[in-house]
Amino acid sequence: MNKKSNKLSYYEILELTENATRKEIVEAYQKAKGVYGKDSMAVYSLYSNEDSRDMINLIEEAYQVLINPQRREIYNKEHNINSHRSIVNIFFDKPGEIKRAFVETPNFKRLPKDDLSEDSPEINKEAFKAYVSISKQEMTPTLPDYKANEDMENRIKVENTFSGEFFAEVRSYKSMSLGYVSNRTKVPIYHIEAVEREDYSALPARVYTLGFLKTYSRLLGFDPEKASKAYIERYDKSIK
Amino acid sequence: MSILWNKRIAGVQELSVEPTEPVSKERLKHVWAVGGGKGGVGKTLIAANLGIMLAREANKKVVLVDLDLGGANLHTCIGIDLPKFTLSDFVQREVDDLEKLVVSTPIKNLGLISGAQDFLDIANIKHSQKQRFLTHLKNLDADYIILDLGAGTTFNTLDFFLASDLGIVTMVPEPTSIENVYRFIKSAFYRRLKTIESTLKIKQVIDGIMHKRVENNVNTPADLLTQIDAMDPVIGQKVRAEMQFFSPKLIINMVRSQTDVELGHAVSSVCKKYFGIDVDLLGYIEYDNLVWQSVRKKAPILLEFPNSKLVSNFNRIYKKLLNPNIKFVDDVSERM
Repeated sequence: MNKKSNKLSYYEILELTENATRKEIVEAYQKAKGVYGKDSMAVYSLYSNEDSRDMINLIEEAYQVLINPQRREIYNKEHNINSHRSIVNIFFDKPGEIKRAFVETPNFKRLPKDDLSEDSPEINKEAFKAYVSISKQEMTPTLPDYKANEDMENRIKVENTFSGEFFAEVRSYKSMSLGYVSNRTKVPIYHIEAVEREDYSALPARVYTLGFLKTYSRLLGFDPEKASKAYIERYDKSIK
Repeated sequence: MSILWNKRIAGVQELSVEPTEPVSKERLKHVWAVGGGKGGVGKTLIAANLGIMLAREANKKVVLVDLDLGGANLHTCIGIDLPKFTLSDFVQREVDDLEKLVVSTPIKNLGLISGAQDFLDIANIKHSQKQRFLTHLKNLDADYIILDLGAGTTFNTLDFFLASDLGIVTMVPEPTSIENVYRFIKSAFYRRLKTIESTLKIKQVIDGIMHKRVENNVNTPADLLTQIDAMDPVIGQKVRAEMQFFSPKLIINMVRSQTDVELGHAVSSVCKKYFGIDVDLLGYIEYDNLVWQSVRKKAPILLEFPNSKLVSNFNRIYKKLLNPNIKFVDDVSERM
C-alpha cells in the first residue's frame, strides 16, 4: 500500500466533499469498490493483490464511518472537519420528500444527546424533525399501509421469474422505501439496490445473497423458497 | 502569450545551457498538447478535430503542429497533401522561420505545420534545436496552437507536453493503453520536477531521496512529495505549489459502453490516490466505424460525416475545454 493512501482522509478516500449526503456516500463507495476491485483494469498494473485488498479495506473503513451519522460526527470532530450541513442533510438530499414518505413521530434515541438537540443553533429545525421522523420510521416494525390492487396481488401469486425489477415494483407497490427494507432486513441499501438492478457483481457471497433474498422475499409477501431459488439461479449463471 | 505558458516554456528552457530569449507578450495564445504514451489511441484524431472546432465554431486562428516526427500524418487527417516543407527543414535550418512552414488547409482559420518525413526522430532533436523551435512556436500568428505528440515518453515529447498550457492525455479502454497512460503521466511529472529543480534549488534534496529510493519506499510521485515534506516542509510546500500546474486532462477514446466511460473515471481516481496527481476527465469519444472510413477518404470526420455521434462527443469536449466549469456528462448508455 502506498503511503499516500494511508494519509488520505475518509472523505478523500471516497472522493467526497465534507458535506456529502448519504446518497453520495453510497454511490462513492460503490464506485470506489469497482475501481479497486480485484478485476479492475484501472489498478492491476499499479497495485498488487495485497495493495488492492488494503485499499478495499480502507474504503470499507471509510464507508462504515461516514455512513453512520454518529461515527461521522465523532470522526469530523477528531479531525477538525467542520461540516456545514445539518444532520438531516448528511442523511438525505431532499428531507422534505423523505419526510412525506414516513410516519412522523418524534424519537431521539438514535441521536447523540450531548451533541445534538432541537435547540442546537446549527440545526435546521425543519430538517431535524424530518430526521427524527425518519429515525422513528426506521425502527417501526409494522408494515407501511398500501392500497391493495387485485391484479398486482394475482401477479405476485403466479410470478415465477422474480426479476430484480419485479422486486422493485412490488416494493414500490407496498409503499416500502429502501431505508425501510434495509432496516427490516438489516441489509445495506446498496445491496438491496444491487438485487433490484440484478447487478450480481455488487452482491456479496452466494450464501449471504441467498439468505437476504429469502428475508426480502418474505417481507414482500413472496414464497421465500420459490423467489430466492428463481433469483439465485441467475446469480449462479453469472458467476459461471 | 499567456503567463502560464510563459512560465512553462521558461521551465523547459532551463534545461538548456543556452540563454533564453525574452518571451513575447504581444498576444494571448493558448498551447494545447495531445499525448498519451501509446500509438493508435487517437491523438491525431483528437488534435485535428479540436483544431477544426476551434477554427470553425470559435472562429479562432489555429495552427496544428505535427510533432509525431516518426509517423507524421496529421496532414492526411486534415485532408491535404504532404506539404513541401516540414519540421525537418526547420530543424536542419533549411527554413529559417517556423511561420513559413504553416500551410493553409481547406478549413478557414486552420493552418498546419507538418512533421518530418525523413529520418528525423523526436528523440534526436537537440536542446538548442528544441529551444529554437519553442521560441518560434510562441511567435506564430495564431490564437491556438495544438501540438500532436507522438507515442512514447522521450524527454522531448514530455517537454513539449509540459510546455503547453493544457496537456491532454488520451487512452483507449484497454490494459496496455492504461499502463502507458500511467507511465506517461508519471514520466511527465518527474520531468516537470526536473525542470523546477534548479529554480527551487532542491536538486540535492531530491537526489538524496532518490538515491535511497528503495530504503525510503519511494515508488510514486506522491511518495516523493511525502519524503520531501518530511525532510524539509518549506521545500515540500514550494514543490507542491509548482506541481499544482501539472494537471493533465484525460480523454477516453473508442468507448463502447458505460463501463468504458467509468474506466476513465477510475483512471482519474487512481492517478489522484496513487500518484497524487489531479487528472481531470474531459470526456469520451465513442467507437465509430466512420473514423476509419474518414481516414480512408483522407477527410476530417467532422466535415465528412457531420451527423456522426463523434460530432457531439467532440462538441462536449470542446465546450468543456473552453469552459472548465461545465459538468462532465457521462451517461453514454442512452445514446449507444
